[in-house]
Amino acid sequence: MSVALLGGIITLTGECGVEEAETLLSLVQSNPAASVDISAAGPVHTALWQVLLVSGPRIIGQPQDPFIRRWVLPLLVSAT
Amino acid sequence: MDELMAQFIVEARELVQASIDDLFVLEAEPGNSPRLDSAFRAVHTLKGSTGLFDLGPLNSVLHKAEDNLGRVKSGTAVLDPVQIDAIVSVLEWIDECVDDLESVGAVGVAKLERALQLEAALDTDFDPTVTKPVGDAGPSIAWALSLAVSKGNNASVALRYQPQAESFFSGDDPLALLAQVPGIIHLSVKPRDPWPAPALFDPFRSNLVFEALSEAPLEQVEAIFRLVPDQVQLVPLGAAVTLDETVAEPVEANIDVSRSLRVDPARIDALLDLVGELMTTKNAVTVLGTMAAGLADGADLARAIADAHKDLDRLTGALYGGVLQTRMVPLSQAFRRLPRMVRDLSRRLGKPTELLIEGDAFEADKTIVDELFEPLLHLVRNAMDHGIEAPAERFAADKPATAILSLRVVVDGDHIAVSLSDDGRGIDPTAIRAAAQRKGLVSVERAAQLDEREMLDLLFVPGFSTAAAVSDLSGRGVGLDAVRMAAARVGGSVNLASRIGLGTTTTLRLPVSFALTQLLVVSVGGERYGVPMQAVVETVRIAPAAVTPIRSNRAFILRDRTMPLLSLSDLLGLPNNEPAGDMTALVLAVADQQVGIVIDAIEERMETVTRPLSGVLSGMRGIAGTTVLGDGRVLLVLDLAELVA
Repeated sequence: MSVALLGGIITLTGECGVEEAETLLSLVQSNPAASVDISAAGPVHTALWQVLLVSGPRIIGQPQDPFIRRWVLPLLVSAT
Repeated sequence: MDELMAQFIVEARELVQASIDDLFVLEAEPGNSPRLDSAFRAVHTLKGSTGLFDLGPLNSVLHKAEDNLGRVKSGTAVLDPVQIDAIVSVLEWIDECVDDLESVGAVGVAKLERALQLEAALDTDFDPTVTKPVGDAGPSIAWALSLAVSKGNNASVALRYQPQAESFFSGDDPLALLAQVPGIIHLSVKPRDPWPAPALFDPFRSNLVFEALSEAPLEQVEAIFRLVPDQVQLVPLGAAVTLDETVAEPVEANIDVSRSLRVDPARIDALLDLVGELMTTKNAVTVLGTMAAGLADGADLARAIADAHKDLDRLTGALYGGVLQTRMVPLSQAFRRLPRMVRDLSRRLGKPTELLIEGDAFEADKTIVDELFEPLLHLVRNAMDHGIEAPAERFAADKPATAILSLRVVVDGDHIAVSLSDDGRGIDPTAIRAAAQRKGLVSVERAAQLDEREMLDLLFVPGFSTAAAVSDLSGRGVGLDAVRMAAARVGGSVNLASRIGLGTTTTLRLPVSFALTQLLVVSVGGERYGVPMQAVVETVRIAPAAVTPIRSNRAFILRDRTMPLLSLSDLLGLPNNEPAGDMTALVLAVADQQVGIVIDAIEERMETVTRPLSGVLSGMRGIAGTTVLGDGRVLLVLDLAELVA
């Protein structure tokens, strides 16, 4: 499972497809205080980024993808 | 042909070329306003001059193109690749019409009929309702301009990407698409509609609008979004944005053309002929000197003649150099159609390719530059067809998707080396060897001894090109023998180097101009011919006993080597009257093999200007060129390699 709640932290691991957007949304909504750890994330679908953008949880770590690090993460930060 | 029309034909070609060059630059740099001005000017002039003749359809299509460019200039429209294509098609069509005008004096009916279609293309693809004014920026692109001004003045494209709400369902991943945009210098996102209450938020619907700036050419960005054109808005930046900082300076390049004097090449050739004769006459003065020295009290006279001869020598040399200089043209003339071709081929073959040209300002004799064009065309086509891989294959090989084709000119003494390199898949020499063997072009024993260089050399063997199997190989080969022949015609050579997986480089080495050549004048069947000394290894006398008939052919033995013996009179189709006794023969090196050629006699050696055949004669097999003798007679200079082949 690539989206999971582990020890109070929502973690994104490996490839996270569009179908996991709903899982992520419900985890974020039911654990509003939980941080989201993306340090082990692989390719993550836009739908999941949109969930993070809307709900604005605290983000932990940086994924490998340079495009995400350089351009997408700042969007999440500025949105919160 | 009337003089006005003749002038129009020359000018029209230049203007077409100049404006196409400008448009290609504009495609990559939409903000280059000097090139826009220059393109506009060229199309305007072209339109004006078609008005002088009965060329109504040309005039009206050009009028439309000029209007469109005018709108771009005034900032009320954007020059997108579609529009550039439409205008380039018009210009290429004009070029074809000019060809007709030159050859038959009128434009063919079929060509004229294309006018409407071309005009329509200018129209439909340039709907001003789509491209909103840049000047009083309508709401739709104001964002692009403000983004460019605030976030990056170097950006060439602003894009606004608004994925459809349902796009996640249809399998799109908008950020993954954006990640492919090269040269991103800004990315921002905002909701298309205000975010709904958390309970109503649907994670499977996109409510995002991305805005980004890129430094990449519009075309590249456009290619990425080709599947979602309705969801993205691309605005080429430049004109409005960069104009503020760079005050446009007029481009000088196109003005140079009109400053120079246009001379019919035939007049210069006539001059060159005269210089050649002058040289021969000059040599006669040496003889006068010798004669004077032989007179009883001729010492003073001989000295005076020698002094005069020295001056004459210096002056004729300078004159010869000066006349040759007027024939020098930049190599860019041979290259000018190549960017068009590469662009066209890369689209048609689906192999994105960039052509880099370096050193095209170097000059060479017009004949050589003219000769260069066709072989280059061949080589470029080969490289794109066979050398460069499809993007998927390049991707698998860890190469950038866009292939690089690089054309470099290096000057090397009195030669130029023009090399075309691709970063494609290279050629497997063993595959070439196998194919040549299958074709029977090389024997099994010989094939086994070949080193890599010699294997690649098989590509140049006449007959290899016709092998249908070539296209299955990783190689090329189509018409490479023709390329080598063309190079040899002007005294040049070709060679090819390739590394599997890395690419292929073909280099044409050509003389910069026609230097004086050493000729051996030989007689055969009562006629005299010139043979370039460089082709002759040695001259020998052959005793009848040394000749062995082999079926209908003959061979002879020279220093323990057997070589074929041919007769020049047979090769030239002249009556054969070989003497019964010893024969005189030239030994030539032809394609790694020595051949003897029987002639009647060697007459003299001379240094002269050999000029390649032109016009109707240019196709004549076995003739390298002509030279004018001191008595005004023309001597044909043979290309023995071609005669023997």
